[in-house]
Amino acid sequence: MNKLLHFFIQYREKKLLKKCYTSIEDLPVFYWRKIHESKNLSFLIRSDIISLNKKHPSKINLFILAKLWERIYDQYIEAFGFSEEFLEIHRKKKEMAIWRLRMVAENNKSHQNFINACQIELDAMIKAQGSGSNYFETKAFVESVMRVPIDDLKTSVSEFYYKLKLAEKKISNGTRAD
Amino acid sequence: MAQEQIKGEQIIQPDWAANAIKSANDLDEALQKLIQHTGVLASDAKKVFPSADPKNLSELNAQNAAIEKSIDLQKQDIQTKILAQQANKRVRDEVLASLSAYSKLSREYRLASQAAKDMAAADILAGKAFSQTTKEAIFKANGLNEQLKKIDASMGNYTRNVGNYHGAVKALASGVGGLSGIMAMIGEALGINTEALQTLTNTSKELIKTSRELSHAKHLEAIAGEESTVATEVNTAATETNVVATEGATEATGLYGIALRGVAAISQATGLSMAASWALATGGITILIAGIASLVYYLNSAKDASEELAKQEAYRKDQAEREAEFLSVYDKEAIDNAETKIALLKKQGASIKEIHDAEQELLSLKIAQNKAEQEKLNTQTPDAENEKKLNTLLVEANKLKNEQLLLDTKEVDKKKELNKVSEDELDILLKFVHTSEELQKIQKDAQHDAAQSRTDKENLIVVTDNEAKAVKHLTSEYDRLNKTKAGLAGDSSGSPSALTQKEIDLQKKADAEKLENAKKLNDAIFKLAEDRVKAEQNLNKEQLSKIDEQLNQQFELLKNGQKNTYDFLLKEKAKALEEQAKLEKKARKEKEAEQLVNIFLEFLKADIAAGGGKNGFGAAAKALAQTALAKTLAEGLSGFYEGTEDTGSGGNIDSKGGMLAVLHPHERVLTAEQNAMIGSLSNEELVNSVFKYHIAEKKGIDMIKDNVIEEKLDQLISVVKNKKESSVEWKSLWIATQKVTEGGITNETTFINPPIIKRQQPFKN
Repeated sequence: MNKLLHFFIQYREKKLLKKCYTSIEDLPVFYWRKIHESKNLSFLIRSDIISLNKKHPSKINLFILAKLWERIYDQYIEAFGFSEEFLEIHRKKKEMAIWRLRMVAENNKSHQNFINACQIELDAMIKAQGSGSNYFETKAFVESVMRVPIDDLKTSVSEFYYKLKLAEKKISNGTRAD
Repeated sequence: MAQEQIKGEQIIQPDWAANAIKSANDLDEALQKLIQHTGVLASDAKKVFPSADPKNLSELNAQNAAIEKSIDLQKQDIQTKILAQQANKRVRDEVLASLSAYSKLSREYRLASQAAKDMAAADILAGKAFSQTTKEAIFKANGLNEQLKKIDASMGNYTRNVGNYHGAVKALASGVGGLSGIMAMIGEALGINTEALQTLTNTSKELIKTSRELSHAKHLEAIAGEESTVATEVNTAATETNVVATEGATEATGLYGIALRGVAAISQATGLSMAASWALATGGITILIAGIASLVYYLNSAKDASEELAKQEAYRKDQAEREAEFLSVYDKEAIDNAETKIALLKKQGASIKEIHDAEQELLSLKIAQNKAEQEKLNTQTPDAENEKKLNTLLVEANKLKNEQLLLDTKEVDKKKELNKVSEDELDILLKFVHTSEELQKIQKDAQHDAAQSRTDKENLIVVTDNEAKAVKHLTSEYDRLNKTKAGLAGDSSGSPSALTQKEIDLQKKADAEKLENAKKLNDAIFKLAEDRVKAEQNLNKEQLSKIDEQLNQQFELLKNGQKNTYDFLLKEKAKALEEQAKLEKKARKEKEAEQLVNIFLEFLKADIAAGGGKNGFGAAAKALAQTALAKTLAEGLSGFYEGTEDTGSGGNIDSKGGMLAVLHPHERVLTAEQNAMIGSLSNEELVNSVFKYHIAEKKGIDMIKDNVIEEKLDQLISVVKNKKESSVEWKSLWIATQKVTEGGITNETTFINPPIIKRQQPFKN
């Protein structure tokens, strides 16, 4: 039975992946944004009809699309990496976790102080990061710096983020693209 | 109920809590192991914790999972420690609660058993069977004992928590259920909800989730399997039916054959397959067997129960017989002892009370024994012999009742005797009291005499023996001759015949004795008067001191401008000082009176010693001495020295009850008749009223006639008497009658058709 299911899933995966965006090179940034906003992986499926709302996938499709999304996200991380702020927060969380483990392992309640300190720092970091800029602000920033209009449906994720990177570099260097 | 001091170690059995404590220790140990295990997990997690930054999403997820795991481990550690604390506290509370409840129960049992024993012993000593109260007390004590036994026996299952510790420990030892399983078991044992703990564990979450999915899949598989099974069964049933139908000639033998034929019949009747029919038949037989088994079990248990009841009944009967036998033996001994005791008491000459009490005790024992034997006979089967015995016992009971009556009568007589004895004792006591009073008086007199004799000795004029003898001889001779002379002259003061020297001496001695008595009495009375005045003076002094204290307090209030009674107290002080002065004056005057009386008595004494008065004074002196003059004098002197409204019932100076008194210049004395006219007015009030109404100023004037008020009154009376009065009476509308009264004379005038105006106004004459 499991084998059948496995076979069925594989079969389904093959058929579905043919209809999906499989990398950041071809995934439009519009759908990238929609997936992040709505948590709906159906936007990975190519479609001629542009729709702002799509039906959530079935369980089997969800299973397949989740694997695909993971691959796409890994490509994104590989290309652009995590942001420094995100990494700092992540490191702080890891530090807290280590203190917790030490407290349990050594049965030393005094480590709770360090945990509390880390929590305070973490809260401060999250607060400093703010809510972050939304996509439209980022898009406007890129367009203003690069002086190039960006079509969400035609610009891929990699293209968009490379432009963003460039724009940030330009801003940091204090020059503008001509 | 007997009350006694109960100590803790007497109540608490030392080992009863050992199991609970041991279980608690085991649990604590298990929890500590759990904590250690959590620590080990944490240290392992720390070792493998990723320190590098994630490079992709999977690494990020893995690192996030590790972070979550650390949080879970920390929470598990905290919860485990909390569990350990709660477990210890729970066990401690349970032990304490059990201790208090157990100790309470133990104490109740001890008191109840002691009371029951006391009551039973009292009944046995009294020679009675156990009373209803005693039986109830014994029953209660036994019930409490049973409860305690149950508690001791079921110590492991005393509370759910205590018992289940073993299960938790076992689970931990075998590692069954894993961490969450162990905690769940422990939590369940302790009554703590560990679901929250389990849900915290991500592993458990995943496990639950996966297991649910898997179980669903399994369920589907099972359904598919079942359907195939059902299909197989149907085919099998069809095959079997065919077999039965086609192989009907084949007869199975033995029990199997019978069973098969039975099942086939069921199958044909119900239309079910042979397999189903087999199941039904088997089920039915099983039920039947179960029913039979349960019936057999019930009967056996009923039989056991009835046997148990019979055993208990036999035991009770045996106990009752033993008790009766014991009592009868004990009763006989007790009776013998009582009889011996009575004989001994009589021999020793004990009091009536003791003998009576012993006889009462013996009688009570005999009556109790008789009653017990009657009851025993009543329980046995009635036959001729028992009937005869019963009659004998009843006769004996009647005799004992008569004896009791006699004893009660003796008791009454004894009490009367005791009362009489006490009355006699009372008389003796009274006599003793009187005698002792007289003795005291005599002693006092003797002391007084001794004192007096010392005083006399001090005042004695030293005279030589020869001179004294000479004077005495001459004086006695002179007296004798005078008496002879007086007797010859017919003087009543003398004797008709000449008195001998001896007679003169005796007379002198008698007179001296009387005078001495009078002097003694006088001294005693003046002493009393002096004491009284002193007491009054002391009282007055105390009052003065109190007034002074209050004066000081009130003066303080006066200075502060507060409400006070300073002026009132000043008046009170003035009165007290006046009283003090009066008392001093009284004491002085009584002293003077005493001295006067002493002088007089000394004079009498000297006169008597000198052989009587030459001019008849001796007779007077004799009369005075003989009539207890001193007493009268003293009474008269101290009775109204400062004036009195009533001199009392009188003395015996003369036939009219005359008495002597000391008077001072310018004092007033009234006769009894005059005093009666004044009535109950005190001297003070009399004087005040005279002073107030200026009666003393009207000296020489007829006060009644010149009394202004009386005159005025007379005038008023005459005016009222002679006042003119007039009245009008209308006999009809035209006729009026006027009556005028003056000086007791009434004039009546009739008017016809008087004018209206006149009708309204009073008529004027």
